[in-house]
Amino acid sequence: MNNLRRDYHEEAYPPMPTSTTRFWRKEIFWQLSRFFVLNFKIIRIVVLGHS
Amino acid sequence: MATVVVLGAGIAGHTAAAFLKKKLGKKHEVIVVSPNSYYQWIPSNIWVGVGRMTVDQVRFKLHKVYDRWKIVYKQAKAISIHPEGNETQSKGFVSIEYTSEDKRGQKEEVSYDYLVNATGPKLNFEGTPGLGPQQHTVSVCSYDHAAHAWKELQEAIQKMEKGEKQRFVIGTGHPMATCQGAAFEYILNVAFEIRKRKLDHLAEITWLTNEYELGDFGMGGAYIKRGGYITSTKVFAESFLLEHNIHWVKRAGVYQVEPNRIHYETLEGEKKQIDFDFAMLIPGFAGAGLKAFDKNNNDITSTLFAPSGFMKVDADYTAKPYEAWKASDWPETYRNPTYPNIFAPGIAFAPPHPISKPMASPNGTNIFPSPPRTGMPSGVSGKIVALNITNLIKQGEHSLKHRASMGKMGAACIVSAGYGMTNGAAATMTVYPIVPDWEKYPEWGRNINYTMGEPGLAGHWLKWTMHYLFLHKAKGYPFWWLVPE
Ligand SMILES: Cc1cc2nc3c(=O)[nH]c(=O)nc-3n(C[C@H](O)[C@H](O)[C@H](O)COP(=O)(O)OP(=O)(O)OC[C@H]3O[C@@H](n4cnc5c(N)ncnc54)[C@H](O)[C@@H]3O)c2cc1C
Repeated sequence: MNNLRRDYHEEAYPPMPTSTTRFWRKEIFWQLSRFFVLNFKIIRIVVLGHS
Repeated sequence: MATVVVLGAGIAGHTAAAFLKKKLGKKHEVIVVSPNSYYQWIPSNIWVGVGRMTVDQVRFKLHKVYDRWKIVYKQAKAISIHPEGNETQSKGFVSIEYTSEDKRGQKEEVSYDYLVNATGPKLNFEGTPGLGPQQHTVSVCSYDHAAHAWKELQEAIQKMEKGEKQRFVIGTGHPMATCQGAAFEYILNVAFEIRKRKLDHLAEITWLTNEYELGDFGMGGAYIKRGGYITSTKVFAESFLLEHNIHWVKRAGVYQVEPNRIHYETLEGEKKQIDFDFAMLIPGFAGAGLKAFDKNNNDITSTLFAPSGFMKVDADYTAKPYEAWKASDWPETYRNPTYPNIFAPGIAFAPPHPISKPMASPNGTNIFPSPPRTGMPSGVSGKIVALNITNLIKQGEHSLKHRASMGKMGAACIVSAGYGMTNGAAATMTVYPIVPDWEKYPEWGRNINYTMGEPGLAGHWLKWTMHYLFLHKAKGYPFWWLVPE
């Protein structure tokens, strides 16, 4: 990874998640709440999409 | 009594047949013609391709469900459509050829009042010399391909366990291939499996894509809310690959595969190669290759089908420049304009134009993704076709009440790797609508509240829920019709 960054390679520029971000991605209670939000949004886009 | 014939028992055809029978009841006949005796939940083939599921977990025998629903099932492939009948019969019919053990090769003419062509894509491996499971690369597009991919992947893993370096190349195998979402999910699964075995130091994994930028996914990319910004799926996709130590090559049109070597042309017109030990490349898609004839047996294939083999429906096929494309060009009822008793939901319909901006190399090679037609729009279009046909049969009305355009419908692509409830990596991507509507959403092309990209375990659970829920629905278990498409 370091070489990529030193070489000004395209792969050096995208953001990398911090350890805090990674923690929240696996935090059960937070993810459970996201599970319900995502479910709700997906069902909404199915329902809104046809008549 | 009306007869509705459904060609294909994939997501669109099976959904259409289920709702047709539910709504039409015993008074009318529903016939399904499909060459494979199994229904398969294609999105879970990814897990078959990394040995996380068995083939039997993603498929079931169609006849069991159709017997219960009193749907006539013919294990056969459609060869040609005769919408005006012929000298001996005035009704439209389909010529089919049986593929079942007991009747293999036998031909039959199946007449219909309404026809649903849901034959999905033909996996056009022949479009790229050397591509595909019969040649030098693997595929995860069907359960048998995925099982073969897993076998090959195991061999690569075994070599790494002996200390040998392995090069993995995953992506698109044709300059205009689509279905990047599936390949993206597979590459993350492969990376996850390698990391889990602590072999990442021996693996070089590359994403090879025809996209102009990563995260295009054949729908021109999308803007999403992330970390206090509105950012693009390019940043999202690149970040995800980088995090999993995956390199990428973009704007690449693969034109030939040799053992262990892929040849591609770049958008700049350069011819390049990339070497591999294991490659999973998605082929180009074409229509199922059905022919059509009028009552005098004249070939009218070009009346019913676009040159790609996909069926013409109520889309605006007028050739227009990219800047003039509109969401309203996309079909709403999937009805054929020449023969109004024929419909084509799912992947079987001809799109009016791509969604991604067309790009060509100086040599004239088009290198950009074709438009994807994912599971959600396939299921929804199958359902609304069934509801409209039911209305036409029961009420004889000429206006079609039910509509579902990709310019108004959303799609969800969940990329999920790993196994178990707490162990895994996933990202949920939704777009609404699939085709950007720059008139309705002038700033971002889509509704920014429903267009999302979110990494996290929740996506992993969603994918699992969907696997079980959609198989529950497809098997016709209690309250199946309550499960949304
Ligand atoms: C690996 C993979 C993963 C995917 N993951 C996702 C995902 O996570 N989310 C998502 O939304 N979408 C996903 N997709 C896309 C999704 O699977 C497709 O959009 C969907 O299967 C299309 O449905 P369909 O019914 O149009 O076509 P298909 O499902 O391909 O069905 C076509 C049917 O027609 C039959 N047929 C073919 N030729 C004939 C003939 N001549 N006569 C009669 N029948 C015929 C076939 O046997 C089949 O039964 C994925 C695709 C792949 C390949």
